[in-house]
Amino acid sequence: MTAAPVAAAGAASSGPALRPGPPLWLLLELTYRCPLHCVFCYNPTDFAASGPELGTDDWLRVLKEARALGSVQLGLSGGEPLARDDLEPIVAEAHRLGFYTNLITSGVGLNETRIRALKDAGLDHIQLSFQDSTRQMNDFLSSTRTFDLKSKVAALIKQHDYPMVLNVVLHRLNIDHVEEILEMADRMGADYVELANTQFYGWAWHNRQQLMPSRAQVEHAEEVTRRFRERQGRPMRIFFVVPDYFEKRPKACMNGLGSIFLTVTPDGTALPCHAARMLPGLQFPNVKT
Amino acid sequence: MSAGALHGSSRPSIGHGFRLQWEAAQNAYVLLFPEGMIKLNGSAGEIMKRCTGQATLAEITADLERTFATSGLSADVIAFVEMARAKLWLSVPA
Repeated sequence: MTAAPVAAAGAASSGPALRPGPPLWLLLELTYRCPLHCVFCYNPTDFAASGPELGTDDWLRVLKEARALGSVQLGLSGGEPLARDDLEPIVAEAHRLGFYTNLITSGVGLNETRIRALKDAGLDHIQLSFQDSTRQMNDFLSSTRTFDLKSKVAALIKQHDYPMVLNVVLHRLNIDHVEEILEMADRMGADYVELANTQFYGWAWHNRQQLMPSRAQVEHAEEVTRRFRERQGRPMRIFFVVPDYFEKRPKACMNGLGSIFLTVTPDGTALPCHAARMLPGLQFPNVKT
Repeated sequence: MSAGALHGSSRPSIGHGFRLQWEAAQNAYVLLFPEGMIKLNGSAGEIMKRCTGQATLAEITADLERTFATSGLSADVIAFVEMARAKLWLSVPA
C-alpha cells in the first residue's frame, strides 16, 4: 500500500496535488519502550537496533519548528509515551505553542498524579487502547495482565473530564467481538471509538498469517457496527477503519506522503508515514542533523 | 441531545471537547477535537468566533451585519448554528 504514492510522486512531480503541504498532523513517537507486547504492533521489528532516544530539549525544539511549519494536531505516542518522565514538560510546551495535544497510550503508568499533572500542563485528549472486550482476550493479545488496569484508567480519564477515544486494533482473533467491544466502550463513556483494522507493518506484518481476518469476518463486523450505530442512545462517534487488504483499490498512504502528516521516531528520524522506514531505497532525514 | 428551537436569546458556545483557533498557516479558523480538525470557511469562522457563550444569537447576527455592512443574515446564521449544534461543534443551553 505504501508503494503506490511513492511511484506516483516519481512519475508526475509537477501535479499540484503532489505539492507537499504543511505537516498539520505531527506524531512524536517519544520512545519504543512499552510495557505491552502486542502481536499487531506497527513498530519496526528491529527497533532494538534503533539509536538513542532524543532528549527533552530536542523534542521541545522539534515542537517549535513543526509549529512554525503549521503543525497543529500533535500525537504523543510510542511505544508507551508515559515511559518518558518528561512527558509533562513536553505537553506543557506543546500547549503553550498552540497545539491540540493527544496522548495515545496503553494506560499503563497513568495514575492519579500524572493524569492531574498532564491536565495542568494542558493535555487536551487521551486515546486509550484496549485489545478486546474481555480480560482474557485483552491480556492474551497484549501478553500482559492489563485489562483491569485499563478499565480503571478509563474511569480516571472520564473523572478528569478529558474527551476519551477508545482504540481497539482489530484482527482475526478479536474482530468477531465488535459488538461486545462497542458495548464496553459505551459503558465506559467513550466519546469516540476507533475500530482500527490492523495495519500490516512491523510486527503485524511479521505476524500476518495469524492476524489477517477473512472477508466474511470483516463484512460481519461492519454490519454489526452499522446496527450498533442505529440503536445507540448516547453520542459516541464510531470509526470503522477498513483494512487495506479488503478495499477495492489501494488508498494513498497518509492522504499522500508529505501532504498532511509527519512523524518523528524516538531517535529523531523524520518520516512521512509510521512505517516508511520499511520502504526500500529511501533515506530519511534526522531532526538532529 | 438535540435541544429545542433556537431563539434570538440563545447563547451558543463552542462544544465540549472542541477548540476554535486561528491558524495563520492555513489562513483560517480551525476547529480542533480529538485527533481531528475542521478547517472553517470564512463565514463559518466569523460566526463561530462570536459564539462565546456570552453573546446572544441576536447580538451575534447584529455584529456580523454591522461588521460586513449588510443585513438579513439571521436565517443563514440560524441555519449554520443548527448544523453546528447537530455536529456538537456548538452547544446551546436551553
